[in-house]
Amino acid sequence: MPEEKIIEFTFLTLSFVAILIGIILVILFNKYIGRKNKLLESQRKSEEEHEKHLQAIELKALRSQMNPHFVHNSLNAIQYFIQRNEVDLSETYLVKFSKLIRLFFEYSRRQFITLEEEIELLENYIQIEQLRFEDRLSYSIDIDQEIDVSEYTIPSMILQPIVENAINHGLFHKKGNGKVIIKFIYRNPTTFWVYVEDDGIGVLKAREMFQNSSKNYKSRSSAVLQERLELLNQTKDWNITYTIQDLSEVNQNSGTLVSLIFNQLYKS
Amino acid sequence: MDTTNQTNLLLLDLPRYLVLMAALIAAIWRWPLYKDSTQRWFLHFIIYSVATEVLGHIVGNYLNRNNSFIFNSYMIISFSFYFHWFGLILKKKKWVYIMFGFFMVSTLYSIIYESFWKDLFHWPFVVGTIFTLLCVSLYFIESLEEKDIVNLQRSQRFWIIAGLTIFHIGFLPILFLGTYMETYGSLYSAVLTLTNVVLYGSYTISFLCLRKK
Repeated sequence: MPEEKIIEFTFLTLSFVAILIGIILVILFNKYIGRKNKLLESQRKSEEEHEKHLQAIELKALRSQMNPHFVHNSLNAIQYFIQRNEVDLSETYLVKFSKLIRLFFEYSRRQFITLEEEIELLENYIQIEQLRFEDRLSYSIDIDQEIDVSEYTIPSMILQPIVENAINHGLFHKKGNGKVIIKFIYRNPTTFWVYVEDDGIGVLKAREMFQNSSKNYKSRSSAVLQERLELLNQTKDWNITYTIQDLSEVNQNSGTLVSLIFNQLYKS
Repeated sequence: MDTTNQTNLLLLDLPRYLVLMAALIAAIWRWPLYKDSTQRWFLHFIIYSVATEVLGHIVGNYLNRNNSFIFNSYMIISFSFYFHWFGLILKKKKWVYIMFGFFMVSTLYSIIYESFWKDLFHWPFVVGTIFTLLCVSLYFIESLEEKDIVNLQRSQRFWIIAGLTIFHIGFLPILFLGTYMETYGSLYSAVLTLTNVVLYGSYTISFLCLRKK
């Protein structure tokens, strides 16, 4: 073959190969971008679903805290004072009740609140519950000195359902006086423990009672609480450990002890 | 060159002219959809490409004069235009400016040591082609690193880049073997036509894929 023909043949072959390589490169790039798009899409979908789920749970949390029985009982108690012409007392409780409702709405919009705010809400809630129990319900809140309540944060309204359970399932069925003790214990700058202890009938007995009464034992608020804790642990902002113990199994006393370890993983 | 050969070459060039016209029509038709984007200068560039083709054809085939100066000017302006566009769309602009600097040095070298009027410039062609492919690679890398979902079929940039990639890779054999080939021979024209059809075909799609927001 003459040299000219060889050059022509090489040129033609190389040109077609080069064009083919160019086309393959573009197709490969297109494929990779397509795959990346799919990955991004599924990632976004799961993030959106997680976000939606979180919002739904937060809404549920608010609804469970605003449970109709609580609202009904509180208003009934206030009405009782009005009927007895105890104007000052009824006014005091009406103010507390309206404040609690306002706090419920305000805090449910926020992801985190300070311990100071959480304690304020708890005190308000217990004081209203005291209306129903009259002198039978007492409470104490102990806070370690190392804990600066205005600095430490906590996921909003996480303790209220626990206190609600202590009162409604533990103390409500107890004959005689009952007490709720709430303790905030310092562990290190990012970790603190919370104990909610009541001297009621105990979680085992309460469970038994509800099983016998054919009602679903697990209250709505505690189911929501469990779900919220799981979601909070998934966010990687918090590591929260939740345990519940019947005191009869620990020290022969009756009652329930709920322990929560809050480990804040993010820097506020 | 005899008449039969001239007719053959014209037939080989015809698809190139047709697809170039198609790109021009699409660019004018879709102008309102991209006039505010970084691709706005492509309309002007295509008009200039059409003018170059027409002028080159007239000077070369009808006036029987050397038309290298027309294509040398086109080479310098088109590569500069691509560098300018890459400078607009790429994040790593510094590299584009450096490449453009090297391209200008090669152009200057060719202006001094090669004949602007008689021969097609060699060095700006080599440097421009390689650096355009490097810019294309930068675009690919940046797109893969992008955290947003991109619909490539509807991306004007993607179709332009696709055309540039195939065109310039297809041009590499001309870079290496061009000196051994007859510049206006039928084989050279066939490859030139094929790469141009791909380039201007991609440009046409890049305008047609645009949708109203």
